[in-house]
Amino acid sequence: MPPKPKPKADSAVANALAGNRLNTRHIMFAMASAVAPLTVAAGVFPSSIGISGLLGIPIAIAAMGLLVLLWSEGYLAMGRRILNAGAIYAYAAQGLGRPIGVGVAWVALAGYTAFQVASYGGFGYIAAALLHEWTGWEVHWFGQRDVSWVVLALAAWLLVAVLGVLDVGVPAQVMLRLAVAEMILVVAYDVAIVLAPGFHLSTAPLSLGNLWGPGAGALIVVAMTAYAGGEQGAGFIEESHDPQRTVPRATRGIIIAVGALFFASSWIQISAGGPQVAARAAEEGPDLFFNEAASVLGPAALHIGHVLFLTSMLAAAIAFHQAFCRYGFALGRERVLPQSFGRTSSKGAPRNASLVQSALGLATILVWLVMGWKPLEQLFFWGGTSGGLAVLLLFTVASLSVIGYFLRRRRAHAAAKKNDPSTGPETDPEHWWRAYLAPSIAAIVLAVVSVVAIDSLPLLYGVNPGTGPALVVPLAFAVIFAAGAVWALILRWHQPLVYQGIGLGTGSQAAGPGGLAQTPGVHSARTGAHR
Amino acid sequence: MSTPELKLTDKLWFAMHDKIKIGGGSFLAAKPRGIGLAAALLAELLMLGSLLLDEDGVLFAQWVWRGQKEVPLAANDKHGLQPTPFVPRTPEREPALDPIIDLVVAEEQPYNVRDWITFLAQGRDQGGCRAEELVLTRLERTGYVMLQVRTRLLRRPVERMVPKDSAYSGNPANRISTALHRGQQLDHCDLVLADLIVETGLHQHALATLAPAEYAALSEQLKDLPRPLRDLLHATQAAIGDAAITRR
Repeated sequence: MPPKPKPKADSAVANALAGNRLNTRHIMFAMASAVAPLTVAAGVFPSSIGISGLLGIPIAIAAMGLLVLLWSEGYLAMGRRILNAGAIYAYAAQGLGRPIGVGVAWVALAGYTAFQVASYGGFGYIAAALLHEWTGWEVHWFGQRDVSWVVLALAAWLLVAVLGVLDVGVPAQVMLRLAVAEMILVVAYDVAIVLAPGFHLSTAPLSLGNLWGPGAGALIVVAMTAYAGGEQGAGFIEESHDPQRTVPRATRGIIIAVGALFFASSWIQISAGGPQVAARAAEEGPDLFFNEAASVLGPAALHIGHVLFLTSMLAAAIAFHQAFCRYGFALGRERVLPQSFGRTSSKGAPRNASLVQSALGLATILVWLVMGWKPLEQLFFWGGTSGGLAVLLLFTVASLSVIGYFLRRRRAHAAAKKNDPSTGPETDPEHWWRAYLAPSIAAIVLAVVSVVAIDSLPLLYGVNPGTGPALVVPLAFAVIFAAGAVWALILRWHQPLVYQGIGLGTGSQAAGPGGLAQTPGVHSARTGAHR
Repeated sequence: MSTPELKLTDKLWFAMHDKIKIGGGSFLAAKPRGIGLAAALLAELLMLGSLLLDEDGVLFAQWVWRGQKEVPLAANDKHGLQPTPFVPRTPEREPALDPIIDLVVAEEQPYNVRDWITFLAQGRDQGGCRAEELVLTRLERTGYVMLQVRTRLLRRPVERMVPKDSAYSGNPANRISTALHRGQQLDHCDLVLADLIVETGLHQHALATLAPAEYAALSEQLKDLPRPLRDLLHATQAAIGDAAITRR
């Protein structure tokens, strides 16, 4: 496609297309829904403190924030050049090779699924506790263990599944408003806690020693979980007003806003919890934050907090469901996933991707029901942690992709110049800071923290080393990644046209006319469009 | 009853309104409906020779009508455009589609066909001219649709254009299904129509009786479409996908 001409002020087409675009604020709030401020502040933080006993979350948030900002330099530089709703997958495909791109895409889908099903666990647990408190209602599994949470988790699942399949447009607006309400609530409660008599800020959570102590890896994963959602900005690039500015501004804005919010909130919560905060967190779970606020604001703070916490998790479930659908749809269009993922319903929605994600969610809840596993510690926290680990690995690959991409460009230009010395300088070069230095530093640091994080998983999951999720989760990601890479190689052998289109988005020839299966060579008469 | 002669976009519109939801209106959502109709209108203009699509996907007007006379646009010489083989030397005029040609001519800079599809698929309040308005104007003039006013309790009445005869609706898609069942070759117009039915998700209803082998046969036939039409269909698929992903 030739570069878009600069639209004139009186161009009917330009004006009409511009009106349909997202601005910085829209994108920031869309990302905020995925970040789920209250789920993290009231859910992830107390759970991780209670399970791992680690108090260094604030310093980890701050350090990770700086790292993510550094990482975003290269990520966004690539985003400006590769307009693809699949973002990290496309960058990996073009920077490190197509098999790695497909592997990354499948891991991303697994990560989003992990976050999504985690929300059901959190929702079910809190909702069941509330209903029991108000009405005494509970449900038992054949007269034995309490499975009230399953009923409510299934209710949440049904709502998300129906909204996903029907492609109801309303939730987007509702979710934006909820994200704003959550952020306001977190700030308000933090202020209230600070104003409590006898409150003083503890310095232990800010100790830099936390970052290389025995729990450092676990803290990193928790911090990464907090920032997860920030990478989704690049997926909106195709829809934004000005890809050069809107998405970078939105991404940096959300990282800084979220970082500041979580830094403050985690510090305040830990400080207010007193010397036995870890024990309190283990005992009270998400209520730690609300109880601390309620000691100043009264019991209403607890109820309001509970309601918004429930909506926050529902919003997170919806946001990650949509992220899965966008990704799955983008991959289906490129035939990297079965083509049915790339089909739309008569409503124009990626229904098949939605149905698959819903099936995964349902299967997970049912497995938890049958196995008798816990909703909060094991579904919510393990799911969120696994998703955080996936995002950490994806961020690492993204940085490597940036370097690989710009190196390839440079090599291609050097080769062209060798063949034809009259070739001009490289077109649209990227500044060395964004193309090489920032992503290199980010890649090295992220690679190191990834290794440390995997090593610390037992502490985070609360299991013995080499057992349970500490073994299964990294292994599962490795297997999924390998399966994706192998699938790409199968495509290379079996459908070379589709293979060539990996990572190229809707410019791909594989997404040919007919919406029907295309055999290789169908566009052999077409010139110029293949990159 | 034999189907009166309908143009490509008319047939697509009828296929979209073959099944009506409870409460009225096409069951196909606004976005895929607009995109399908926009693409169909552009396909008509490509087949008439009024518009050209170059290999980069940029749309140009080849002719502009002054009264009853067609005048080639001098601007095209600098682009080195050649008429595409399937276009007749003397273009036919379709007056209902003149607004689109006028819009293409009025833009100082040429736009990609995807942008034109998106633009034409949008509603007037966003500055675009709706493809559906154009096709309904034509259908009303030729007498195939009529205005239906539905009164509602305590609310303003709803006005909608509906087929005058429900027999028009299913016919275009049925003819395509029948031809494919019999292994017959479809003409360009029907091939484009079939593909647009699939792209918009309409095939679940309109071409529901097709077997996988018949879809494969359709796919084979689509390969032989002239390049500009294939490119247009490709752009349509991308536009449908973009609309699915934005979902605002």
